[in-house]
Amino acid sequence: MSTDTPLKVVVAEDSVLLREGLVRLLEDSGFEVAGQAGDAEDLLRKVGAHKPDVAVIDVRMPPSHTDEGLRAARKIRADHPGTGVLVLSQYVEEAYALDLLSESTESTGYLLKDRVADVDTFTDAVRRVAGGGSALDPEVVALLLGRRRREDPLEGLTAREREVLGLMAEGRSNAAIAEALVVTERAVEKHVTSIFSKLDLAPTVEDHRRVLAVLAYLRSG
Amino acid sequence: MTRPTRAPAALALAGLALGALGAVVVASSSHVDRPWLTLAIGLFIGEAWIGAGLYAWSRRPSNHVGLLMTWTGFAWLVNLLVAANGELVFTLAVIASNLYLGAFVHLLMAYPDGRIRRPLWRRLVQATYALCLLGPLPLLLSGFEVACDTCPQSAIQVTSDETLGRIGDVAASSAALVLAAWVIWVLAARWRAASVPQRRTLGPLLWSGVALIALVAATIGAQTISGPQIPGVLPLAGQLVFASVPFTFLAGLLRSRVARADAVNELLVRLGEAPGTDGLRGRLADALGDPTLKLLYWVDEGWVRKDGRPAELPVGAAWTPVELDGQRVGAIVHDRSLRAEPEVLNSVAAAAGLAMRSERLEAALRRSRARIVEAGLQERRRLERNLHDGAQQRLVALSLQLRIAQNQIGKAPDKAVELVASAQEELTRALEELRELARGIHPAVLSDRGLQAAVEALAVRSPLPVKIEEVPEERLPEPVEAAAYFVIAEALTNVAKYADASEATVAVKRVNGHAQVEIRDDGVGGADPCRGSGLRGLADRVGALDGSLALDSPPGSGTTLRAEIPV
Repeated sequence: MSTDTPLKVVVAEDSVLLREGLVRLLEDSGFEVAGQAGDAEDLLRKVGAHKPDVAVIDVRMPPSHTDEGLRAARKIRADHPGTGVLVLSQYVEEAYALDLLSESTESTGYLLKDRVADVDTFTDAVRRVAGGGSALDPEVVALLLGRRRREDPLEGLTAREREVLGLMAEGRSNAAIAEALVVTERAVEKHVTSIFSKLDLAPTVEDHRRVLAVLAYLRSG
Repeated sequence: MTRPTRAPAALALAGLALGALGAVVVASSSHVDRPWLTLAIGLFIGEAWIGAGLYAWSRRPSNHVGLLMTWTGFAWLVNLLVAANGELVFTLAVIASNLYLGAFVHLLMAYPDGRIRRPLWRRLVQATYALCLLGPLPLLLSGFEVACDTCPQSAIQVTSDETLGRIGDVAASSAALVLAAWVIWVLAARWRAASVPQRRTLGPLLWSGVALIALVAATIGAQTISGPQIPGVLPLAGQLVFASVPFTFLAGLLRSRVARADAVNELLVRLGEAPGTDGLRGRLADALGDPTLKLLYWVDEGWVRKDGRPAELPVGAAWTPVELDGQRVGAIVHDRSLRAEPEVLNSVAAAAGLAMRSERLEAALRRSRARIVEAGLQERRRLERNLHDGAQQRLVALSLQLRIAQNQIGKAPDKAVELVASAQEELTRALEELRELARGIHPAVLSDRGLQAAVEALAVRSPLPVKIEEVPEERLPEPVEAAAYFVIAEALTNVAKYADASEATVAVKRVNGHAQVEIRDDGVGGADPCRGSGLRGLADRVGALDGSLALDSPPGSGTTLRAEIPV
């Protein structure tokens, strides 16, 4: 991706205050905000018109204030394969996240709304999703990892392996994991292989397939 | 009545025999002025007392009032023997001639339940009996001629000193006056302390008692001044009062029986009508003539009032349980005096059963509503506290930090950056707290995704492994989903807190138009259904949807909580 042509973003958020804030934050970080929407219908129209690289979408929007943002996100993924979706939620609701990410993790992300305040994490997630990757909120991942199971196979993992598993679930590449943990990519690869063998998962190289496998595993509880 | 009929019959015969003996004695007496009049009045009064007493005893064999009346009648008939010409019989009859007054005071103190309630009253009765027997002795010991010169000689005369006899007699009379005042004072005190229904029962006898004792006292006073006379003969007014007692007693007994029977009949008719302002309570109060009557309902193994508020059985009052089909429905709390009429109480209680059952349901409903309201209030208080102690404090601190940072930007930019960073952290925590709080109020996932997703979310957050056996994928009505969700949430919290279990299993099934929610664990069991307000709150929540909640927790074999909610 070249930094010369800014990434095109459509923002859907019914709270005007928050929407303005998001737009300003994204523009300050070098994104081009092509359109703003206050509800799901408006969002779908603007995505159709602007063909953005990514749509940043609030889960709850009018008229029912339930999960129309999520449904709109799935429709965008189906109708506009070139547009990634990053869903922002007020709640740590793994059901939403896993619904969104269960079929495909490509160009898809789910973040807590709070994360937007952490500009680097947020813009990193937007870029990752725009680039075809995935982003899952660390808190959702922590919840899934923390779930108590009978005869928990996760207990067989070392602390470092659990960390790596968590970062994988968040949708990070080996390079990003290596950077986050300050180790070599080679060391990360070793951990990943070990994790997959301990959890009895088929090894896979592609990042988004890997996320899918990890999430499916964590979800199965 | 299965009580012995022989004893009353024997007593009746004995009464007639004593009367016949008295008749013979009076008829052949050498010292009675108008023997036939004396005999007629004496026999009439004595047999009336015996007859009324025996009737009362046969109605209420366990109540000694009837026997006491019979005893008073016998004591009165003994009076007739004073007419005897033989010295010994005459002397003994004179000694016993006042016993009927002792028996009468005994009756007054033991009325209406046949037992003397207070030690003081018991001593009063004993003193009266003693004085009745001792009173004639001074005259008998000093020669009886003073009082009646045609009478036979006293069999126990030891002196012929008149003065000694007079002194003794005055002393005995004075004691009698004191005793009479004491009795009247006690009777007046009893009247003042009596309730309305008690007064209705006590009234006739109590006032006859006061009148008679006053007359006796007046007679004794007059004799002390004018000199002694033949003992044991009441002035005419006194005889009238004394003669009236058994008849007023009988009349009262009959009137109350008839009145109560009418009242019970009327109650049965009126129970079918629409309830008035005072409803069932008023009708029962009318039927039993007790305006202080109260009704309590048996709800969840405890007493509640009609408005659903819990109540205790009052300590001083009596109560009669009301049952329907062998199940306790409630209680009529009434005046103690009504216990004297158990048949009336029982028929009223039986008549009230059906009406009380429907009022009991109302009371139970009010009780459960009150609990739901109270639980709602408690929840609001808890939320307010959490908001106040958590997010709100953090936001105040944050506001302060930002203000300081603003002031520092020009002077010490490094410090300002530090402050803003810490404000950022504070804000993150405030948001986390708000999220948790919102989830506790109503999890968004439940309304958005339904029970299955919400139960999965509970399982993920539970501190112990939770196996989800089955949850219907289709949506259920929102109140049903919410009730099922909170049952599961509360149950899982309890399992984690108390059960010492290694795993919990959750299953929600649709069975026969019901959602059957079941939470099992393999813990220690022995859960107390009354523990805390959590389970009670759940039962109310489920009950509000016409559902039911059952807890099965044998010690050592895990706990199963099951809720059935109509869909």
